[in-house]
Amino acid sequence: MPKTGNWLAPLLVSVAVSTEAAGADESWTGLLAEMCAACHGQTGKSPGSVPDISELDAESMQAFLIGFRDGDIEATVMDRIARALSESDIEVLSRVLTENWQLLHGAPDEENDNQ
Amino acid sequence: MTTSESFGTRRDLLKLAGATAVAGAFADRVFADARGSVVVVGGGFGGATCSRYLRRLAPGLSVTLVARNERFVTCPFSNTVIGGIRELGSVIHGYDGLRRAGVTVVHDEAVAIDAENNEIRLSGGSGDRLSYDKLVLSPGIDIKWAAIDGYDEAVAQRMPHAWIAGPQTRLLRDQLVAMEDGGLVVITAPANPFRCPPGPYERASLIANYLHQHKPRSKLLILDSKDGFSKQGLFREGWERLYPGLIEWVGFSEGGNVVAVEPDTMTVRTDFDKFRPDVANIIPPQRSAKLVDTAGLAEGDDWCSVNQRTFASRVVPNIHILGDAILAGAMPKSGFSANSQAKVCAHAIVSLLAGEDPPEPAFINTCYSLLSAEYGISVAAVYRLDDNEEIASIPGSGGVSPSNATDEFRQAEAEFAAGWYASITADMFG
Ligand SMILES: Cc1cc2nc3c(=O)[nH]c(=O)nc-3n(C[C@H](O)[C@H](O)[C@H](O)COP(=O)(O)OP(=O)(O)OC[C@H]3O[C@@H](n4cnc5c(N)ncnc54)[C@H](O)[C@@H]3O)c2cc1C
Repeated sequence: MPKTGNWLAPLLVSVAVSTEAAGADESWTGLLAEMCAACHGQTGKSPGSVPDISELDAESMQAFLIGFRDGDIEATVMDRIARALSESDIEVLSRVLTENWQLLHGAPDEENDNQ
Repeated sequence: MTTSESFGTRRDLLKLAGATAVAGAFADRVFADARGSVVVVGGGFGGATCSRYLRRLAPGLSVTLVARNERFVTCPFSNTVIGGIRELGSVIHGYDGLRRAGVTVVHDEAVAIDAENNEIRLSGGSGDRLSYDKLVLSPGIDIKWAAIDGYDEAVAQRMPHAWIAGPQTRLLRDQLVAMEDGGLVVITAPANPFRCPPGPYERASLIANYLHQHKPRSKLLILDSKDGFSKQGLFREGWERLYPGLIEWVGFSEGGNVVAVEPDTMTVRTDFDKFRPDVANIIPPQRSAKLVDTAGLAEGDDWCSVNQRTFASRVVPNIHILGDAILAGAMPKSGFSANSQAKVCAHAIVSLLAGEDPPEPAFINTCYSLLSAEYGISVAAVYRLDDNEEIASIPGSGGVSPSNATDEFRQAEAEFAAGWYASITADMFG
């Protein structure tokens, strides 16, 4: 298996037969998940007026993203963003964000308490 | 159950879940082994974000942030202060959240980089030095004082740039408040590239908003050193709609290029003409903050060049540079870009320190601009590296808000702009 960075390893394990390109795609999507916090907050709940997505499960998030991408759900900016995503990007992104809001974007304070 | 217990439980569950555990959980575990010291210079959009994410990804890492001031005044939303919609206090942030995240924050100025010895020198009288395994620079911009004849630091007290937020923001606001009704405001805008491409036009809009309400006989003139600008169609549509006849834009070909200022007579000279405004907001050409020159990182250029996968300098590979100070492919110089780059850079650094290849870079940028408190527009893009390892926007995605949208749509974007500001400053500062 090509060396693509340890933090991606579980994703590679879970998809088992990744080619190098698919590995890069999943790695890209995993990192893209980090970018959502700039608007949606580190746990999916913005301290401001951006819609709260912290309670969504993976399926509904996927449905939203597909709806935005295909123009079936109205949006101001998420339609423009979702058009960058393939079917599998959307699947991975929804899984990463929803299963892992707390850890992925988790509070550093709590990590410190844990040491 | 305390928070940390529930946190631990969740982490253990995810560990047990094995194959279904996802990137972040794994990152937590792996990069707990990343050791070493990282010094980050610049407590703004790139530096604050990078420090915080480094600590989150690798709690074993020592992270020191060198921030010039005890408080950071954001340029984003400073135009609302200039337009009288918000108070200056609402765009000022402190560093306690970063300290709580385990970042050592030092308030000082980095005066020189000693790349050979992996050290930076601080201004503190003691001649303090900080040594590092990795150095991150997100120092932002400096003004190119020589670029417009006659424009220097002293003149900026008469003709503010307000392009680095703080006292300059206050000064420009005060001048607008002091101006008589019927006055002329001139904003000069530089050629590309510069910090925040839509910024001068958002500023024009919010000054017009103030003039329209309080000094309706006044005029605003934009003298531009280029022939087009970011979100131009949307700005012009909004100006027509909200402030008809108040704003005039003069592009490069029509003689908008400013070449000199004469503060004693409050004169602004273009290639062909001269103007005598009551308030002159000179937004001059810019360059990466001068600190980079102490290690030759810009190679005599205005901006630094980096490996866009890791943000490692092309000149000194264990110095990573991000934000406004670099050329970053298709990404504009924005706070959102710097925040996005900082996360990619943090992941790359912890990967490198752990002996791994960095992940595949992903970036987003959304720049909101306000034309009034209830009228917002945006430009968005999602990026990845192209075949030349340059940051490129993904075809078919991104772009600007629709033209001729409803009032509700513009209002929603104005609300989301404020929401974005609250979120990103919390993402940076905790
Ligand atoms: C009017 C205006 C409006 C804007 N609006 C938006 C917006 O709505 N959205 C958006 O995304 N972007 C916006 N921007 C752009 C945004 O401000 C910048 O792109 C962003 O600040 C870049 O981040 P940075 O980390 O590169 O630099 P900065 O955020 O400027 O941080 C750099 C920090 O480093 C410090 N520093 C520099 N040299 C040293 C040294 N030697 N030692 C110690 N400290 C040092 C500086 O003092 C500064 O605090 C706007 C800009 C302007 C001017």
